[in-house]
Amino acid sequence: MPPDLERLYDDHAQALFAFLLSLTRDETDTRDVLQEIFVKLARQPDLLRSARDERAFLIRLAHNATIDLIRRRGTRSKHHEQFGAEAIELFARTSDPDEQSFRAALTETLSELPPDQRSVVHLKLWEGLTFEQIATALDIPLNTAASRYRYGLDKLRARLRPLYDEIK
Amino acid sequence: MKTDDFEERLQRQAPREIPTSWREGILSASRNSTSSANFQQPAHHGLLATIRHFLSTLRPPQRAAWGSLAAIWIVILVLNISAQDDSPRSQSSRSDASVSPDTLQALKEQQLLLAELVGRPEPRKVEHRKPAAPGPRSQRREDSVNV
Repeated sequence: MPPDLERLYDDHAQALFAFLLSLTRDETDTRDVLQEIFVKLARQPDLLRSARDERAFLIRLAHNATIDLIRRRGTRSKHHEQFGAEAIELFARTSDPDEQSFRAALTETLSELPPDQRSVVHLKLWEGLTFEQIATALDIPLNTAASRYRYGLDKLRARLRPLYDEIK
Repeated sequence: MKTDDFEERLQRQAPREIPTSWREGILSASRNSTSSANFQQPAHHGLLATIRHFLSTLRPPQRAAWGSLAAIWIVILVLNISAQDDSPRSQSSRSDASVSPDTLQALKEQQLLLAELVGRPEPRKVEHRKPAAPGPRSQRREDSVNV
């Protein structure tokens, strides 16, 4: 039985979009990877059958597809660094200027994190996943997920604390 | 792990919305990919189906070229089979089958007559000399003493 693509899109596309945009920092790449995931789901109807957690499974697909994209592009280290260097809006616009400046600073600081830390920070803060779920989704040990989050958060804190204290 | 104010502040930042125009594009691309994948994968119902699928993927000029090539191979095969039938072995086997028993008898008589005229070389009798068996040990001792 073919998967209900419309339902899958409505349930998960927003989360996948935010995750992919955070990783790739490029709208075109994000769309390409998102489409690649849905094409895969359409072509392999049994892909999701064995998945216990649909969201975690799709995040894993998205993560792997992004890594493949990075590898396809050439020298891994170079592009790994380049991913995230571009200025892009990760967060919704707000009419509050303080909040808007905080979001801009947060976007910039996130781009300075290594992609591994950025993925974990994103999934923990904006997807609300537990470390166990993150570890499963990214195929990493639980302790690695926790330590990546701690390092990432410490960097965010160090960079954003002055602004945070100012607008608090 | 307890979340502090800073973490809560971060969590409150709403991620950007996915562009609404993407939905139709992505879903239709996914649907199209399934139909094209079905077209690309030949149904493995047998050799004929595979051949038919292969031929269907060819453009008309190529189809004609492949068809004429196949015809040439069939002609070569037929010629090869007919040439094998004309070989000496098959001819002799055919002639053996057509010879009557009287002719065979006459042929045998002729062969016997020829053998008598020529004279068959008789096989030479080969005498295998047995090596002299050594005598009893006591006798051998006597021989050596005599020498």
